Amino acid sequence: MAQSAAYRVARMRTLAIRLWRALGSIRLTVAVCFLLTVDLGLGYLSLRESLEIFAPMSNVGLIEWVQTYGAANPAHATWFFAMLALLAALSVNTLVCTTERVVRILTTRPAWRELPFRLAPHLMHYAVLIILAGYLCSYLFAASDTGHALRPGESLTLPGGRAELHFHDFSPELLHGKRIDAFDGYVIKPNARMSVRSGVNDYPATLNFNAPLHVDGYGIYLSDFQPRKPGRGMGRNYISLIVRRDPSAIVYQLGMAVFILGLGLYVFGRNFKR
Amino acid sequence: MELSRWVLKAEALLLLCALISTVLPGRTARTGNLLWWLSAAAGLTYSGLRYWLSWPMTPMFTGSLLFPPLLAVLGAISLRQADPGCDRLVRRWLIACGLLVVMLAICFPKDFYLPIIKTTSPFAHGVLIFGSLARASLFVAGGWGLAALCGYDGVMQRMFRWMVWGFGGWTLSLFSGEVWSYSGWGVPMVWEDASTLTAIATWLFYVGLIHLQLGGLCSRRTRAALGVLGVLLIVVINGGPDLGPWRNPLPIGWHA
Repeated sequence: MAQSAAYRVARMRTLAIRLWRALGSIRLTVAVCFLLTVDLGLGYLSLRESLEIFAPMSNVGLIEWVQTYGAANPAHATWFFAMLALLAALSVNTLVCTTERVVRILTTRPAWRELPFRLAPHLMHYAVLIILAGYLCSYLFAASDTGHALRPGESLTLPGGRAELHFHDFSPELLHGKRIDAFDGYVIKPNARMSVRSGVNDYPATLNFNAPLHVDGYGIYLSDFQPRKPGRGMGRNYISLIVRRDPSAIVYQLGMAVFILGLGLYVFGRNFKR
Repeated sequence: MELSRWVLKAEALLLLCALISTVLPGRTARTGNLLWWLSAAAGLTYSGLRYWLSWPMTPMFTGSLLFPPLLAVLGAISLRQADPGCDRLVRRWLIACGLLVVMLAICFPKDFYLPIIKTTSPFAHGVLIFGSLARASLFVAGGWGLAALCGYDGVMQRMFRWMVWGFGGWTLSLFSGEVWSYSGWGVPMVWEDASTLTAIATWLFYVGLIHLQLGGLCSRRTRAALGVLGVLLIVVINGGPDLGPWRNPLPIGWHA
């Protein structure tokens, strides 16, 4: 009886080891990567035809998108669901494969000087996992609020009521010259002059495209403005804002930094140069 | 704008002449080389003009056009100490690829679109510049893959190295796009630009190929063929979004 129990434990252990190895197989990595290539290629064709289905995902989040746009358009969203499944498979595969190899490297006790270079590919692998986890958290937990338009003199209170933005006016930089006629005299940098009140602090700030403000955990992004040319816009002066809270942004940005570190160590390491 | 189109046509003509000189018998290699460098100079002039026109914004839909001149530069670096037969083959491949890409851009132009203000971000420029370097490196890798397919020995390592450089450039291009997306819209990915998907698809293809190479999972021939296929993939799925409707490139009328 005891022998049979020991046999069963040994057999379970063998199966677990086999499963672990299968999950971390490099063949699985290659197959999943090529399948993802095909899937994303098909996704491109689908996305080109149905941009309006996917564009709201960043604002409504993954769960709500799946329940609404995804469920209502299964034909267009099939590639997306396949991508999620394949990315999940790739994540498990990467985690298992990398962990096994890292453990193997560490148990051989390599010289300290060699260690970063030997771990470089695995840093990239872990970085991919961090990036994917960051993206997932972003699509699950980020809160986004679009469509806030402010005219000069108007204010916006951020969710929670602890901070307030006030829009004064523009101090625009114009594009001069005849290089592109259509752009001559147009605003290239609007420099929306704001003041921010956060708690007891009150300070001035300037908002531009690609230069968001970070206030009280929220990112304030300029999505549009008028007039594009001084004197135009039929008297409509406004800025349009996206207010977004995404605590996981730091996660995928950290992942990218780790990936670049790993790539640098790999490319400039001895093994690659040899 | 009109001048840049003429410069682009001059680049195509020079590439065509360079390609012809590589297949002609006799000692035409030097002439071919000179023509290739001249085409690269024309290509860099085109890129400079496009940048000058749209600066500080990023020129639109030029991802497939900025890298052919880089093929001459990276090709020259890559072909050092190469076997003469192999050198001829890879050179011919790179010139032919450059010509194909430039001809596609001339016949299906889309670079006349006005730039958008959001592309003033240095990360938008990063997407284009790293992407161009990556494409050029991967085309060079494809050339070495072709040499391996034609039976030349000791070229797989060169293919792999160029593939890794290309992969690194592609990664930096994707990351630049991600940082731009975050600073511009606050999101990890802008779904409005469908070509982001094809960029990720190509990245994943090369992840698979690098793992195939490192794991030695299939024959050398298959890996080399996949290296060549990667170039086709870039031309079709990454170059495709940069192409517009058909335009007759000739100064004379052409009626169907």
